[in-house]
Amino acid sequence: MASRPFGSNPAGAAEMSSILVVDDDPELRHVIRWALEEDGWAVETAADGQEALEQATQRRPRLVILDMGLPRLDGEGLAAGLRAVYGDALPILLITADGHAIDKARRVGARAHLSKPFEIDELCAAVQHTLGGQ
Amino acid sequence: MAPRAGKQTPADAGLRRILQANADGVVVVDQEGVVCYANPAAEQLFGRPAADLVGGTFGFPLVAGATTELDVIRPSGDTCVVEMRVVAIEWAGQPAYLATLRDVTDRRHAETERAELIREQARTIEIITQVAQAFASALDEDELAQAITDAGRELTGAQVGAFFYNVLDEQGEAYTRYTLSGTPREAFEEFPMPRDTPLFSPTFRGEGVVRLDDVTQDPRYGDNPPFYGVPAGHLPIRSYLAAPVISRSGEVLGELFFGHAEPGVFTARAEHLVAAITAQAAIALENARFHRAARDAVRMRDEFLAAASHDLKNPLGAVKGTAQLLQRVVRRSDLPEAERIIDGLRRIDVTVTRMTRLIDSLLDVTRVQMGRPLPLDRRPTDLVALARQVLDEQQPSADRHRLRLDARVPELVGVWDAARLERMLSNLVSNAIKYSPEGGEITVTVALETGAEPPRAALIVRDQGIGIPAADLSRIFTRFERGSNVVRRIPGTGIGLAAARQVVEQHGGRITVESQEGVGTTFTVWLPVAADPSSEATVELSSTK
Repeated sequence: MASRPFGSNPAGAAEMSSILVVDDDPELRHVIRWALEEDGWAVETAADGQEALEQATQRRPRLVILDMGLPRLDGEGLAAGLRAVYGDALPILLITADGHAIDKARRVGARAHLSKPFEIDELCAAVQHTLGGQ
Repeated sequence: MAPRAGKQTPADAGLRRILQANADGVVVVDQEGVVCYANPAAEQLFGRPAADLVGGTFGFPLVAGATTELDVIRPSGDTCVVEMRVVAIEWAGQPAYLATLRDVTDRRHAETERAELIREQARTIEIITQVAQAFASALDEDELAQAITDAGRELTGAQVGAFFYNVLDEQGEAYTRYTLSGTPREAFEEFPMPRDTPLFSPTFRGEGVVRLDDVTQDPRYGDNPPFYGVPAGHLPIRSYLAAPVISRSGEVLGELFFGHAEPGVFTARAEHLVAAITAQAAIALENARFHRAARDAVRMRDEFLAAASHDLKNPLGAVKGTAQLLQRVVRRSDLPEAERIIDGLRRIDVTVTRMTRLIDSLLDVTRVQMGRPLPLDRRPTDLVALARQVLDEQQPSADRHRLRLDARVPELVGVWDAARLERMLSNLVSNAIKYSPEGGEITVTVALETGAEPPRAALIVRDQGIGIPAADLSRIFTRFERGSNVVRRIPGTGIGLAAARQVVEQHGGRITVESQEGVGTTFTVWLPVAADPSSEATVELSSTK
């Protein structure tokens, strides 16, 4: 059975902000949303960096999961924009399609990183770990 | 014999008659060096009448029996070269010298000219040899163009040479570059490229060599705006030689121009030499072009591979994630055939993992081929656990094979890139399965060689498959190379082993293969247990070739 971290995301917290998933691949967005919603998280999605930054500026997400190669505004630009608005308090989880995720994660100040294609369990564990204290 | 000075004998008179008629110059000089006699031919040679010569000092050393050459200066200032033979005689009863003189000026000139010609030809051969070497070795178009221009200028004796040649850019569009010889580039930077004026157009059209003793006298010269002749500041050109460089297919690859401020400098020989080097130059330039096209194609292929591999990760991620999430859903349900569905979904998942490894290998190999570094993610890794995991994963796809782990130690921990080693071992095991279609046992041995310094891990993958022909063993670790007994029979890309070797070498290790056709194949991987940063640096450098 999938883990359901209700401890860290208690029932009744629906008004709390959600996780923002940014990826230009619609199927991958769908899969990530599905996995996170199974775990009880509220999820919003964006298809490019520009859209994500606008959404995140209107309503602060609790976590941003982003891909590096994004249209309009790339992952690095988006991360810089998010830092400008929220500082280091907003956690970022990076998902990249190449094997050199560590360098990139360090560059954008991500708390964790995953390489595509990732295991669903890995994704859920990384999200729970990042938001564990909240 | 008693001295009878001044007294002529009848014999002397006879001798004189003979000497008077001689075509060669003849002088008789006494022991004191005073001229006693000079014949008409000698008068002509020295440019002075006999009356002037006789009684005067001869002035040239005389050795009986010797032949010498004299440089004679006539009173008029003319010079000539005279060959002199000397014999001892008796003249008017006294011992004397008779010198026969022959004008050899023309012969001497001819000899000098021949020597010069030989020197010039030797120089020509030297230049052509140098140029041939440049043509044979240089694959860079600019370097070749410079060699052609320099050689042409030397061979023709031009003051200035220029070569305008067409190169193709990345889009295949032609544009013109130029090299100069005998003049700094700054001298020409102000001037536009030569245009298709009546003077230049035969060369642009590839119609052959144009040689003019004085271009300023040519009706085609200077009729064209804006310059009407050479632009101000341009070197003054009178002698003009222009030749097109034409490819084997008839395409004009470039135009060579030579100039000299003096008229009439370029000879027919210069024209022939230029025609000869342009023919060679065309071949060399075309080869350089082919070489560049091939290099560009390889680079484009590698870039495409990198981009395509990268783009495959997104759909794979979606497939893998969906398969895993569906497994969760089915596990929660009470569907009657839940186990079969879960098994199918698990197989989809494993297949995606295999595809991912293949793509990652391709990416790594391509990356190194493109000269980019491949940083290892080194952390403590247990090789025994890693081998067990790989064998567990592979067992479902090996229904005819028995996969066996032979661990000589309970655990073997080194500082390695776990993901890359897993990919490498996984590739060796799936190769073992693939190339033993009859089944059989596949053993993975993990051992620690403490005898080695530094201590190293040995990872041995042994199968009982079809084997690799001995002739192919040396090249199976090369990218896109495969055993000749499997090509077009068992599908494969030739990437796996190239990537395996790359990963092993980057860890400072070594991979070897032993095989016998029809008996089986054994791959052995040695890995230093401790990370040695120096070995990693070496591998990176040597792989960026």
